[in-house]
Amino acid sequence: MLQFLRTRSIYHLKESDPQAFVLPRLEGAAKVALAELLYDEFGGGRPSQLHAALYGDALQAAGLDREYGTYLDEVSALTLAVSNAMSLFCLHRRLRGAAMGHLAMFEITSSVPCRRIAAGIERVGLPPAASAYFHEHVEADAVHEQVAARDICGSLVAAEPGQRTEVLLGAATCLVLDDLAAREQLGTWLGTETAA
Amino acid sequence: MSAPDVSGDRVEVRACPRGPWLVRGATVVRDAAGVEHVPTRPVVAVCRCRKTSRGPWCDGTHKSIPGY
Repeated sequence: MLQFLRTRSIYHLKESDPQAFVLPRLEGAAKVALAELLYDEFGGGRPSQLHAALYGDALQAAGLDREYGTYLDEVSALTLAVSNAMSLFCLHRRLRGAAMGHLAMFEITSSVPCRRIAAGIERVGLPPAASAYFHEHVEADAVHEQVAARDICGSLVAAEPGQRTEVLLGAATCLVLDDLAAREQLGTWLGTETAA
Repeated sequence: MSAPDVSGDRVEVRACPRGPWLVRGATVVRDAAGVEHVPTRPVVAVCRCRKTSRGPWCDGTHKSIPGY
């Protein structure tokens, strides 16, 4: 569990920072919807609820270091690829559709797993602050997946039909990389690791 | 499937196909037992499949219901 929390620190301690770069690259309804989602990610006006800080609290509660980059050298290339794909998409205007497709798929595949991760954290006896981040994401991402898929990606594609393939590229990239990283992680735990 | 019991000045309620109610602008959401819940985010997902473990909020359980 501690290794899992360290691995996830690569993205969660910078949660939503990549997507914030996309805001000036969207227009109209898609921009409004992304701003609404980001407001929630960045605490909804309450510093204690900043999602990246909630993850820091979770690390601390588990006896780990909350400083960004502490566990950088121990994570795999695939873990870095998951995070780097987001940065690549989010930092280029021409890839803004892929950035939002990635975001939507990330949110769509988050709520149910977060419920199971929170249960796992509690099962091994870590304190409530360690699971609070994941409990928050059960409800938050049940909202965000609807906002991201319908109001961000839907509005973007309605306004710019040419972005449809970009959105799908981002969504597919999210699924492929997360699947590869998860298989690698499970292989490590189960002792069946094979070269990726 | 009746609309969610909500209060607020400018409430917008939308049914997401095969998903929850998406509610913007609510100051209070009442669950099936009439208990009031205060949203902590600008838009909330309210359970529509009635199988959530965190009522009145959606927890994604509807994805596990065949045919929903």
